[in-house]
Amino acid sequence: MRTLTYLQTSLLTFFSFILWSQDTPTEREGGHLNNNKFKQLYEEFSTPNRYRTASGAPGDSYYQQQVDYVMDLELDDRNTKLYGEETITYSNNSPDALPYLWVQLDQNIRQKEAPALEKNGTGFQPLTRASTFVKNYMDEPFDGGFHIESVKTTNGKPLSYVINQTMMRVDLPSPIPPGGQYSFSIKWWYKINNHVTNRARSGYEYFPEDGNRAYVIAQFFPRMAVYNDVEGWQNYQFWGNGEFALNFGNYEVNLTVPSDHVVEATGQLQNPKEVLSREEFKRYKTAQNTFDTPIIIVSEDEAIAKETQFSDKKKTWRFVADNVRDFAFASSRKFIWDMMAVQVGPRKVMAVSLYPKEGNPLWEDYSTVAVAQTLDTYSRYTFNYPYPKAVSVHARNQGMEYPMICWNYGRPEEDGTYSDRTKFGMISVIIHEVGHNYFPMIVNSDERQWGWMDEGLDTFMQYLTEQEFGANFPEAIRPLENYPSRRGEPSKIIPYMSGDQSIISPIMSNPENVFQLGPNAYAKPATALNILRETVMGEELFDYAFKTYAQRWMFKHPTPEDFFRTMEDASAVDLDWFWRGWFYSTDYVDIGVGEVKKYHVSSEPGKEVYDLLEQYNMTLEDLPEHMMYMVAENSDSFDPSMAEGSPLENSKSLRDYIAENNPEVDRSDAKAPKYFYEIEFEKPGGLVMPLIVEYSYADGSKERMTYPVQIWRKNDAVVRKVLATNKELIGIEVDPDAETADIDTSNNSWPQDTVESEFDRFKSEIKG
Amino acid sequence: MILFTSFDIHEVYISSLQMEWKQQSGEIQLTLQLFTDDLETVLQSRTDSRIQLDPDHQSVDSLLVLYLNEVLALSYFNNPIPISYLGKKYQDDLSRIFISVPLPEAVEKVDMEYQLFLKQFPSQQNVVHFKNGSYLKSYLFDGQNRRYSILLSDQ
Repeated sequence: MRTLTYLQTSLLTFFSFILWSQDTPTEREGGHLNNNKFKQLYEEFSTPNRYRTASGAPGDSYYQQQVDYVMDLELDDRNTKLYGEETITYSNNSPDALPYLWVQLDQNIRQKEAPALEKNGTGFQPLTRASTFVKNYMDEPFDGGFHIESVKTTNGKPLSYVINQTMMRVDLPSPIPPGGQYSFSIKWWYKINNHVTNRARSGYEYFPEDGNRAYVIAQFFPRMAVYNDVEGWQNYQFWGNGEFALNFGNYEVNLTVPSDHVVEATGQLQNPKEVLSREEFKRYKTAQNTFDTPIIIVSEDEAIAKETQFSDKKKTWRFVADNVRDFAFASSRKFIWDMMAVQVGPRKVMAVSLYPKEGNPLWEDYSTVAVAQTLDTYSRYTFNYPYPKAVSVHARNQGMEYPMICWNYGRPEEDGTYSDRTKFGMISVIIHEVGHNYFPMIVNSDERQWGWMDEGLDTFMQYLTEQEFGANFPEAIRPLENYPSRRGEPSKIIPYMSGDQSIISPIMSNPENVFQLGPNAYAKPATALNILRETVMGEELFDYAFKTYAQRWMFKHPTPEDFFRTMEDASAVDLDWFWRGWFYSTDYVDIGVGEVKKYHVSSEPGKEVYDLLEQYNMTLEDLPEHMMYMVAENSDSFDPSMAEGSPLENSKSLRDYIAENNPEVDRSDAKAPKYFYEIEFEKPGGLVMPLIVEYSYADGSKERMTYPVQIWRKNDAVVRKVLATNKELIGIEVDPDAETADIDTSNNSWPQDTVESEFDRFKSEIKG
Repeated sequence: MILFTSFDIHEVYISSLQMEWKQQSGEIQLTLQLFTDDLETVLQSRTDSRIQLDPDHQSVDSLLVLYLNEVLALSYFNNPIPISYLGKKYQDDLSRIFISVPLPEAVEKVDMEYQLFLKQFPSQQNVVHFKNGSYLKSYLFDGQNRRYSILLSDQ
């Protein structure tokens, strides 16, 4: 093979020389910019600085603000109102003096006149269901939003403030200097919405059979906006799709609820003895050291017994949370409560579930074990889970995440039966939402700007966790062999990637402005990372780099570039082409095999050689010595006798050359390849990818070749490879394991397979 | 967060319909891919008996055929073309529905009115990919675009 390449190269060089010497004047083409797919991302990335380095790590001047909260809250179950008074202590670690502070008022998206209600264009429906008509044109809209009663200094003096939709600017008496600290208080209340009818991340579900509510409450208090080196104040309004940008801080929360409610929240419960019955407290203590199976703290029977109580008494649950970016809680007298301890590296973490009886029997069987699996898998790929607990709360139709606590769907039928779809939907959403503790609760990216940084990374990790869950709990997935992950496998993103370009946006888009948020922020980045791990980088290089990113930015605020740069910095794999194609563009993968030519070594020059010589007014005698003649099997000069005999037998030049230069080589050496193929690979798709090819030979053997992605760097449309072999080639397949999300596989084989379409397959199945 | 519909649980209201004209066999082959949850919700809203879409439960084919005929109408020069439901397949949370549309003679275009799930989910997007040999064209059907003339070739 090496010999052949050398001879071919010299032949080519020789003719190129001739070509160059024939100077023909042509019309001059204009210049162009660098459009190469492998161009480095200097224009897309911001210049590295002392806050964020070129390696993707935090720089020596990196800073982040610290915001601590002390809150007294009261839940008025009868009137569905929530009251709060909070003291915020803001530590300015930035190098800038801050004359005002921005506070987020997310509940204002539920104000009657919220602009977010009108953010979408709509058409009029000539045919409408009465219920939709009533909802759209007759119902009073829900009257939500914050009622801000006061904003005061610690001395009780009012502070002036301005509310702009979901953002409140608090004007300070004097700027907070770099390194300074400032405390102030806000008193507020709001009317809680029904999250089932109003579709929300927070609110209550009402159970008409018993008149109770289950509250899952979040984005419920005025929260400080983030100030940093990238955005200044991140005060992009809350429109509903773009989630949250939040600061780390410590929380002390006193939460007063009806005395028969069971509460879970972000943070360690400080007074279990006060709020639990003696029996519950005993079980609670037992659970702290029970590692194998969940301990029931409040049983289904006990929860049902409370459904008719509607206690007028109150209890205050006290929670303390360190280094979290948010606080959320769930409260109801309907809740069943179980928990168990999980060993995560050197730490003990409680895996906890909270659910009304409507969630059983599904929830008692799978929730807490799914939480435990998530902590185990994610911790191995990133860092040991640093918080004391992770809680999964059952809320109808919700999948939403907060530090240490999340809301999850998955409800059986009323008779307690459930489909596989419901079961796997529930386990998947628990893994996904508990997994959000890592991204973005701890690796604290800006969700308002970059939905994919938490959703994409989390969905990628979710896939790995689901597969491990399936391996660890085979009885839960029987009769399937692998957990049926709906995202992650390359083939599943093909319908999206091949879709109409007018409704596709690059991953690097703000979540408010994309057409299909699901594939855009979740499925495509997750699949891209899966392909990066399994096909482009390999697991070892990927996993180390991914872990490096997670650990570098744990308890910090990364940007997309910090991720992109770290993945390259820790692996020595240039990935600018990958980020550019998969994250900055809407290009897709389509690579195929084109023409395949078979060549033979001939003793005589073929017509092609004579044509070439004639073109330059030369004869055979003008050629240097030791030239070999190659004849394509489909050319006129081909003679079947050329196919017989080895290259050594067929070419005197080769024999002479070897005799002169390598006399020790045995001339009957059978190693000289017998078959020569020139294979053309074409790339109708815009994305460049490694070229994975499987060659099949007449003797039944197969050979897998992966040509590096760099093969496309000088020709983005077509490349040719020469295959020299002793075996006759009978088949070529590009991407044989469907690992690149190639959107059109009809060009992936040679000879062209008439692949039966799914439709035709189905048709013959039903006939058979 | 997981985004989902007001009834159930996934992140977007979207379906895709592959539409391939096979001139030799004189048919247009439709492969409709949609979220099983959505189909279940819609069929449920049309009957009092409990609908559960999985292979272990009752057949919903008659309901489904009625529904498909209501939301999908094909015609050429005002002549309706009947559609013929072949069957469906479930995979994870998706369903694939196979429909054959006989088109014995070569025509220039087919008029298509398509309103899958639009009544139930106002933000539903239905993407149609038409294919005839190497000719490909996509159409987006939604609340505002319920009708297109589908050109069968680029000539």
